[in-house]
Amino acid sequence: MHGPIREKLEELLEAGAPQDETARHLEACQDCAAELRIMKEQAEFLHRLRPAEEVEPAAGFYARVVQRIEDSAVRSVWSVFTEGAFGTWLAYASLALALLVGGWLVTTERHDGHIGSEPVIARQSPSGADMQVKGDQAHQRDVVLVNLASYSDQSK
Amino acid sequence: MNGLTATIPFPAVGEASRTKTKLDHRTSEEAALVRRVQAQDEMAFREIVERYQTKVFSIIYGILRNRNDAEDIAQQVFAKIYFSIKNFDFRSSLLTWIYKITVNECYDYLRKKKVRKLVYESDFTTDDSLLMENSEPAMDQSQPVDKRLAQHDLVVKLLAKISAEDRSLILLKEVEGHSVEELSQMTGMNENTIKVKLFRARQKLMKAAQRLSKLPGAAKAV
Repeated sequence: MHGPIREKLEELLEAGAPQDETARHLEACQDCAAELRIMKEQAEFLHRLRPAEEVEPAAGFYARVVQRIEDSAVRSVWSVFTEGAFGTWLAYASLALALLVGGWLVTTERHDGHIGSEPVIARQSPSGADMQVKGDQAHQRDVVLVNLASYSDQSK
Repeated sequence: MNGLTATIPFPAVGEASRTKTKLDHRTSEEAALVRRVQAQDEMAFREIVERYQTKVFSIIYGILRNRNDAEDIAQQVFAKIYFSIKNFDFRSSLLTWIYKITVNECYDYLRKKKVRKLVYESDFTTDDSLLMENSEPAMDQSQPVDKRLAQHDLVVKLLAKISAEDRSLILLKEVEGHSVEELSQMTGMNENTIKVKLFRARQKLMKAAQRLSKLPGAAKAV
């Protein structure tokens, strides 16, 4: 739609036939004329949303509004997380965080070589501490055997 | 529009209104009422409910054409007003603010219900049907009810394709019948901004209608 028609669009939609220059432009420019005609039809359709007479609520409306307010006020605090724009935002943020943590875990484990590497075989070798324990056990066994061998019954 | 002018003293349309003095929404009588509600004066809130309940009901009924839905959404609208009036910044008139909340609530409701077919004849009570018969412009009485419903359905669907701000503006213009000048006073935006916004909204609606008509099985309502 060309500038002169666009500037006067609201007047053209409200009023009937255009005057002077505007009329001449619309005669010459088929695009503007077609667009104006569609917008006029559109305006007529929009008028259908206008009820001819006002609609009154049933008696006691204020009391019902107050009840609704009281009900809303005692709603669970968790509704903040599940309803409205904040709830949607929170869901997306949680999903993004889960993806981020998941991605981080996978890449970290690959760097450590735990995924896709050959199985690790544990080698067991006797340590010095184990030898010490064994030595102590042998000594203790010897002591017990000496005690048993030298045992004599005192009650006789 | 009768309801609006009955509640808010808009400047008269005509030569006198062409002085383009900007209406200060902070000093009006309704601003004093809002301040009382912000100070938690329950009687002031009651006054707001009683002053605007018919208007709110009519806006909702115009979009949804169902009394039960209108009651439920109207309650929700006033509950929202109660909880968020502390954030009302007087940049627009109270009615414009209430109008936006009401229209947004209608579209939130439609979105939540994921209504594809917005209006079913079976949802109508006898009262609703009679009211609807009387509410259509005289030239449309020759059309069958189902065609009128389909056209209404289509308009509501198309309006869902544009932003909440554009939707409120175009409804205030075409449904409530306000002039560009009145819209400027109500919203605090200058007239050129209003004209540009209305033009863009109309173009978006036109493109949405064209897209919809290209869909297979689209209703030939327009």
